[in-house]
Amino acid sequence: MVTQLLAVVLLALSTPALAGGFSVRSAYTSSYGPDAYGLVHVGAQAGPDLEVGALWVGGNQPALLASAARTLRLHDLLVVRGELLLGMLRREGPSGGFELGARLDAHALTVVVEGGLLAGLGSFAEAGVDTTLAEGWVFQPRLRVETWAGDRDPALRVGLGLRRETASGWWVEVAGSAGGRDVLHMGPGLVLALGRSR
Amino acid sequence: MRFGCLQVLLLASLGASGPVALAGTPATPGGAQAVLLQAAGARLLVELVDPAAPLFPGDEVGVYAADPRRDPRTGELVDGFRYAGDGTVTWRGPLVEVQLTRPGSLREGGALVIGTPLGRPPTPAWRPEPVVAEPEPLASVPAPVAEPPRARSRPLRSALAPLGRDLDGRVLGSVHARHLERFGGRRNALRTWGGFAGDGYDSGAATGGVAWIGRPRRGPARVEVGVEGLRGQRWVQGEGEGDEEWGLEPAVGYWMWSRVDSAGLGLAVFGGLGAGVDADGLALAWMAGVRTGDPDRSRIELWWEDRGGLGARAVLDGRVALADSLRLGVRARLGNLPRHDGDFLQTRADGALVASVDPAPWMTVTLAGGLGGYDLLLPDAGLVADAALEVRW
Repeated sequence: MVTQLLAVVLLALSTPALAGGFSVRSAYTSSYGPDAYGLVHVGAQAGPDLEVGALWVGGNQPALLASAARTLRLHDLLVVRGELLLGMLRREGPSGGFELGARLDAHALTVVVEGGLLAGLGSFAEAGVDTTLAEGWVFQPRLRVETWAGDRDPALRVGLGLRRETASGWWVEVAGSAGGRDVLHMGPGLVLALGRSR
Repeated sequence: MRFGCLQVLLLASLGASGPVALAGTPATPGGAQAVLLQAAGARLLVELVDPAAPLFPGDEVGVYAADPRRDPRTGELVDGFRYAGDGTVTWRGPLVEVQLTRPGSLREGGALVIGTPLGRPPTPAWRPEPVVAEPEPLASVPAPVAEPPRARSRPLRSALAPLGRDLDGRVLGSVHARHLERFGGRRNALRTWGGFAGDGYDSGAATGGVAWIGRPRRGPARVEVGVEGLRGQRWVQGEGEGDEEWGLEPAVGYWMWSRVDSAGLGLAVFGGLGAGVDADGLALAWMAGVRTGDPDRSRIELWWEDRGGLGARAVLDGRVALADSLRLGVRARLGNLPRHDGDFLQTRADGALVASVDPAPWMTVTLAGGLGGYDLLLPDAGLVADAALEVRW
């Protein structure tokens, strides 16, 4: 059922993807215990400041939600992003939540902070510093605390990511992480994302 | 009166022709009337009031700028022109570029006359001499000095200002102008809609309605008045025992409906009231929400709607413009409409994909389809489908 719904959403949003701005972000996170989840977040963009899409979460607590996000420049150096999510959990029924993020540009470094909360699914907070290694190449170390996939005890993860941007607007991100709730429940994580800026 | 007669006689004696300038209404200098669009140092980009005015690159011209001043006797603002210097026409197209021989202080958006060059330095703008009051010999305490009025502080407006700009800092502009430009100046519309939302348990509601939508030139972005009906069935708990105590009963409501949207592309609020009847008698309804983005293009809307005894729900509706006439998006609704009568989980959700297309500037068709229910299991899912047709004139 979830796969069918996801296929419908992907199919519908593939048109905006072909037309211009879009993003597809997938992730898998394991803690070598009962806590593991994967997610796919598909978004269509109307310019860099507005995005509409859908989020599927699988694993301990599957969920499917519609999402809508707006990005604002509060200052020359500060950009914030807010996202609303509304949908349904596999077993718990309707759910909703939000994500908030901020980017502070300081010459070659960009400080990134984001967090979110989804009723019945959990919450997360993530921080990191983006560093431009070369033209179009960005290094993305991250520190993350999350209770996703079951709203259990917080798990701490560290990750390293690499982002490649092309002049034509395409971008790809690859990131790996490791962590968990304790030394007995630690596991790897992987993030793959690609998109095109309109 | 004496001065007026004297002026007419004087102009007649000088052989003046054309309209006689009356007191307080100065004559316009001879030449081409224009509006200053941009001033970059000594370069002026102007728009001619008469596009056929005989001005060509290379012409030596004099520039006269509208310069209202205050009448020292009455304090009233009096219109007039100031000689702003000579220059050369350097470009002639839909607009005209003039290169002044020396830069002047000109106000963008102000009126200009491009006429005869005088070959003299420009007249400086009038600045009243400051009056310095000499202290009275015996005054020992300085008189209190009135502070100049401070600019009015608008913290809320300042805080919301980023919502009205894009990421490059450009102001998003007026929602009124965008709508008129997009739909050929049509400001009225008739919108009809209908659809069904089920939840997989034979309960759900069909809604439909018709509304007039007006888009004023200023003020609210949209005003809507209409009628709406809801029919369906819902689960109710009766007097029996076990499964027999549950039964389906009709859910019905009809409302007169209104909605007003504030103007704004970055952030707008909207709300409405409804009054009508349902199975319990008088039915009151209301809704309130926020929107970001252009309502006729890419935008996000989040609102809460309450239908009194029949239930309420939250709606998130986001759409992205793929082309001038096509928008795609998603819609999610969480709530209990129609509300059941019993002690069990009533809140359910539905999600739909939404497509909105404008085959012509006078028409918009919107289609939505998806699934709803109490969980993500297909056997528990109900169909959600609705459509709307908007005709503009």
